[in-house]
Amino acid sequence: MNPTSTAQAAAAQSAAAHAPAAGPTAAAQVLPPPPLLSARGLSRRFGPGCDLCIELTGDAGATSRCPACGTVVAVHDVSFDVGAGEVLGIVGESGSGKTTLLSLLHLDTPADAGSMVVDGYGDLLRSRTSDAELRRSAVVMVHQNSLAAGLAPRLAAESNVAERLLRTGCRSFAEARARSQDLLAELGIHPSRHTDPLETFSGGMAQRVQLARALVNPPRVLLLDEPTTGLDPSVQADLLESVQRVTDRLGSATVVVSHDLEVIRILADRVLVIHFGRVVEDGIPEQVFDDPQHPYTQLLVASRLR
Amino acid sequence: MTAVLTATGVEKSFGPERTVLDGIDIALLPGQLTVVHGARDAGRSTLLRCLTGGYRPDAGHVVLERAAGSVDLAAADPRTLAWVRKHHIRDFAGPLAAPPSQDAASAAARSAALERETAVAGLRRLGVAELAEVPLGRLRRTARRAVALTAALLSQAAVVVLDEPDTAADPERVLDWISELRAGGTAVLAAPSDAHPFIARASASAILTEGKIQWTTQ
Ligand SMILES: Nc1ncnc2c1ncn2[C@@H]1O[C@H](COP(=O)(O)OP(=O)(O)O)[C@@H](O)[C@H]1O
Ligand SMILES: [Mg+2]
Ligand SMILES: [Zn+2]
Repeated sequence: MNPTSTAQAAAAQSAAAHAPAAGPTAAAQVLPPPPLLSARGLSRRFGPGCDLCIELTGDAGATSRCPACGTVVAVHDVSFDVGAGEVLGIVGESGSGKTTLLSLLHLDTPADAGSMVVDGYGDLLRSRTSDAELRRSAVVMVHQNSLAAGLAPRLAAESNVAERLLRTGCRSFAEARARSQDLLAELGIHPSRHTDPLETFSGGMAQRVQLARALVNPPRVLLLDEPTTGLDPSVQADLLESVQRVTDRLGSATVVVSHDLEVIRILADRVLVIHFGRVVEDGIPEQVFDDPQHPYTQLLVASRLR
Repeated sequence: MTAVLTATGVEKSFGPERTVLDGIDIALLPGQLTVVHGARDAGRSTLLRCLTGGYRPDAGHVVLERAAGSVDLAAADPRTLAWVRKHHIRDFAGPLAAPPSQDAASAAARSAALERETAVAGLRRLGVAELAEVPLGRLRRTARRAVALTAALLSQAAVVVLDEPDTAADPERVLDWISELRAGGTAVLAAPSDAHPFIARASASAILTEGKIQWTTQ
């Protein structure tokens, strides 16, 4: 399958999902279209491992560290589907396995088991395309820290965006510059800041630059790591709006990790709750936040309600 | 006429002690307004949420029937549920989950998948035009509920389910809008705070007591 044409198809599909509803007689499908991202049985341990690791960790042992051999079962048997334009939220406390899961999806950490099928690319965990190439076209992560995102701190914000445009086929510097400025403005960065070096940007602004880069060349899968953590509330709210604008536009399959339940409620169509590396709850936000079934989710929700 | 949403044997408890729904059967027909009333705490909100997939029932079925096929919301996986709630069933159960910096009209427009001008007109129609430009985070709870109600009434879903719409906006305006939705073939279920004006215009009404439903008009 040609990745570019399916990306366009996905974007068109997502645009259709946001088009004006056609009234109650419309013959919309009752089942969602096939997913863009399909993760199955993703697992990752840190340590030598033994026969008891799985049995003695998780809810059963109330730990993710195997008492027999000391191995940390960071992610165990995680599966989910995400469609075009859909946002999957992942919540859990620090140490629950959220970061490891994202690093598996971003191909930073090899999985011990499982598969990650991305529309048009097959199973990325077994792909022959280089990880660096996949991270340009198939899976993009918006990091909390812009250095980790591969941005150039000394370069102007607009140059960081233009670099990606030029790399993905834009031939003219002038056009790359103009488009970069449009994208940055769309994400709420004032034109007076476009030529400032990225290192003068706050964390929230640097994340917007990363989002602008994602808009240049819509990835199949967009990963967001704690997008609002460490930002003050008004900046958080603005960033949430930017993220929403981007996810609506891209038609990517988005996975957002946050320990902030309110952020997930606003952004996500669906929620996974992770505890000791396992998915303990999977539902739409209303189910998970208003009628939690697992004791851990109940605790998480109750502690948010102070 | 065939029902667009049919619930059978719906049960829901919270913990071992509190059985809220104890075997509910309900069918919603295109173009009809069904009203559920009952004492405070009778479980109306719980029932409405079970019928829209917002809560997962402990037992029973909630089957959506459309030209393209049918789905049991009580058994559907979360991705299917999210899809159905975006395209076929719309509920109003409280304020929108949206960024607090977003203005009311934009939030309602996004939620209903419509243009912003349409949402502005919708807010005007509910008598709350002055909210359009205000960021959600600066609105009081009733106003935020009015914005969410606007989005629900604008959504053009086949099934629209409204929990206490009369405490979010002027009941007469809400009822007029519901009439128009019905004329377009929408099935509407409402659990108003003050049942009388709604019952007067309903196709069917029922009272919820002790987890069971008793039809009062048919
Ligand atoms: N998410 C929930 N968790 C626990 N109990 C709940 C939940 N939602 C409702 N209840 C309980 O169910 C009962 C019915 O509540 P509700 O459906 O809100 O009634 P009504 O809308 O008729 O006033 C109440 O006892 C309420 O405390
Ligand atoms: Mg109620
Ligand atoms: Zn072990």
